Amino acid sequence: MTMYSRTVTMCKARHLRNYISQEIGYNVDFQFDYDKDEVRATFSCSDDYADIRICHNADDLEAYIIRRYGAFLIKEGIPNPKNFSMDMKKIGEVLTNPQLNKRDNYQDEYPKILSNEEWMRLKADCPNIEFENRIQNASYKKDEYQIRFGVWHG
Amino acid sequence: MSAIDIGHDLDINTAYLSPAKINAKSFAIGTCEYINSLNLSTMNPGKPFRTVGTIENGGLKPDRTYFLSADGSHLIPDSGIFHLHNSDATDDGGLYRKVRLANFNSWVNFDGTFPRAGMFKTITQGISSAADAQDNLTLTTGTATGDFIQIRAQGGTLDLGQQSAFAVYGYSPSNTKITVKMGVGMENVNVQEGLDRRYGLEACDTAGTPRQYSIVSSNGVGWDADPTTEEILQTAAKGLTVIHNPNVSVNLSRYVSGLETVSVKTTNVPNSGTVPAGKVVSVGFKTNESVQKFYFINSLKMEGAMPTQYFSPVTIL
Repeated sequence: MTMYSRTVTMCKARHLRNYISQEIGYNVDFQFDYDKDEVRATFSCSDDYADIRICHNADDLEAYIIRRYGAFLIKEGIPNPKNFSMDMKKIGEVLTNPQLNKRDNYQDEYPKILSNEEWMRLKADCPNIEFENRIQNASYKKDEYQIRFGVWHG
Repeated sequence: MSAIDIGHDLDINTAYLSPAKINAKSFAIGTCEYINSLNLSTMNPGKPFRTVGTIENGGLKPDRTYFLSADGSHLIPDSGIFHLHNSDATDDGGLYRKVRLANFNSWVNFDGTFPRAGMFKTITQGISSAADAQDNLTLTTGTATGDFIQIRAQGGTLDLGQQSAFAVYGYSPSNTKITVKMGVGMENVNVQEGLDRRYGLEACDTAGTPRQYSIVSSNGVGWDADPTTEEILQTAAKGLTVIHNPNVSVNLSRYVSGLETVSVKTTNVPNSGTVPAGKVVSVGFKTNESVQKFYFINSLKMEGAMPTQYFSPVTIL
């Protein structure tokens, strides 16, 4: 029997405590450290079940973790912008989007149009961020910028 | 007011805002005396009210949320308040005995908070025993390899199509050359049974290797065990809670070094059917060498749902 496992550290322990259910075939050990507001999670799966629908390999496991918990991942070479997480919510007003009702992961992407001032402020905080679309306006009005960002079901 | 003003979000393009429309859709906030003085019949059904101040008036209490009833005749308190079920008033959520009776036929509660050997049917091999001690119910194996003690709650059943939970507060000072099986619908510790629906904790060692608990579950079609980091070897009782979410997961929740720790198992999770009588709650402990072993049970609990038509419902008077 081949077991695959991957251990990651995630932020927002208290919030994540409400989102521990998993897709069938993926098992996990969570360790919630509320003082540090971090979660240590070891995900595992196997490609040796009789039922092939629940068989998953190492690549599936990594994709699963990123798809389901990508917005929470910290460390492991994944950049952690200084105003990411809660501050990002202030830019996007949508915290309980009805579109999230039937989704199977806990994060989602939204397009958001920022004014020139908002974009400059965001760019200063997250130098690596890039806009998706520049919206040209009449000459007497500054351009606006459409960005795409991930938030979680809040 | 039109239906769109009452039942739908206001749309700036189709509904011009007016004080009346805004009032229809917003909280009326005031003292109990003020809200009690309002003419409810002129207001929209469902309108929310929030009471402030310190003085009760006309049955209304401060710091409550009320909604206007559908027929517009009276205010219904929101249930999001602290209530004791100690009176039949709506504000208290109704009498506790009525809450109990309303759930009489649908609720399973095995309470072994203070366990006694007499609560269980005991199956043994060798000189194994389950004995009442001051602090716990002590499971003691015999002295020969394979000697075991198995305790089972008699009769009963459990609906595996509904959420349930099993918990033990106890420990064993041995983590090698032992077999332990505990949970809901579990097989006896000395045998391997088929794929009967069940969930619980298991560990087995014959090699002398220190072991951890595994979460096991079967949905009647497949069975498997998922290893956890929970060490069997303990020096004092510890709480282990196993939560069954039908068709979703079996979770083992406990504290490790002060951190809340949850292991989630998602494969072969039971989602229907019932547990055969006499198998609902059980703990089995076996020694796999010629040394006597102990498992101490300070408390044992299980809660869940009765299958439909097991008991008839009670009409609440």
